[in-house]
Parts: sequence; structure tokens; C-alpha cells
Amino acid sequence: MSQAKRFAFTTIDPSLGDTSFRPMLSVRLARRDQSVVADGLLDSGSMVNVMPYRLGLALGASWEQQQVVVHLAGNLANLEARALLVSATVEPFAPVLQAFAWTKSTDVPLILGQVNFFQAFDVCFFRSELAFEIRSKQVAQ
Amino acid sequence: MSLAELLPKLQELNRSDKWHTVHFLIAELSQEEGIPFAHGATYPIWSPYDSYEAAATLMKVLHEEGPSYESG
Repeated sequence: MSQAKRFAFTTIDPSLGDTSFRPMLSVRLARRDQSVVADGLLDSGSMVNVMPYRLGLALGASWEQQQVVVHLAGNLANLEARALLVSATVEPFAPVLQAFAWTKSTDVPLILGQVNFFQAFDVCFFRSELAFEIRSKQVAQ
Repeated sequence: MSLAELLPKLQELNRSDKWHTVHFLIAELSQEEGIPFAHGATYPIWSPYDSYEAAATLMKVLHEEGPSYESG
């Protein structure tokens, strides 16, 4: 078990005051020789990781080649999604393999959910301090 | 009407009307608590919190393709 790393909540829209804070986490996603840095929403209520279409394309993924269909629920139920495995790095932790429901939507945010971000990391929210802490379950190499 | 009387009626609603009810209640609560959402606007709830099938599919992909991904 690693040491915890503390991050600050992100202000999405300052005009919204106290309701504008989100637990956004910068994560480097990599697949084969492509990589991209994106801000993911830490969503412990989401059962899965969700990736918007543009990010999958930026990682060199081909929709036609990702043949495992993922059936999402709720507001995302009408969106096509495919399973996509990528390496994810949250500094200062070691990279971890993450499975995403890669959607055709460009509106959906990058969501870090239970399968399998919260399986790889323990996350503790301190909303009153506008901060959260992350601890990797993997021991750094 | 009490909550005990209302809940069975809510259960009879179809999926679409249940979502409309959720949105209506969120708008009502937001207004009561002074959260500055625009009246009548629609705000998407992205979180796929009931995606059991999706979670099982991703776990299966991780188990089947994860080892070769990490070694390749």
C-alpha cells in the first residue's frame, strides 16, 4: 500500500459558489504508443469508468476494432459503448491497467468509477477541506 | 397524500416517467435549497450507477485481455 497523495477539488464555474467544486483528477492515459493527459471526474457512484469518444480516438483506438459491446444504464443507456483497456498513471503512483466504457458521446465527461479505478485506488474525500486523497493499492516498482 | 401512499404509485410509473420524476424532484430541491440551477433547464446525470452488466463486461475484459495487454 502506498502513501496517500492529496489533491484539491477543482472549481468548474466560480459563479456557482460552493456548488462549483468537483473532485477532478489529472490522469495520463496511454495505449500502445499514444498517450494523453485528461481530467477525470472521481465518481464513486459510477459502476464503471467512462471515456468520451474523442479521448479514445486520441489514444489511437478504432471503434470497429473494439468489439466488446458495453451496455450502460441511466442517462447513458442510449449511448453505444465498447470496452477499451488503457494504462492510466496518476502521479506519483505506478501505472495501472484500466478498463473503460468508451462511448460514442463527445459530451460525457471522463468518469473514473468503481470498475476499475476504485479497485486500483483508495479514495478519501474531505469535502469541507475541498480536498481528496488517493492511495494506490499497488506497491510502486 | 402521504409518502407511504405515493411510493407504490411511483413504482407503477414507466422508466421514462420515473426519470422525469427524478429530474422534477432535483429541480424542486435545488430551488428550495438555493442551488442556482436555471428553472426548467435539464441537467444530465452522467453517472452510470446501475450499470451492473457494463461492470461485469469490463471485469471480464480485464481478466481475459489484461494479462496479455500488460505483457505486450
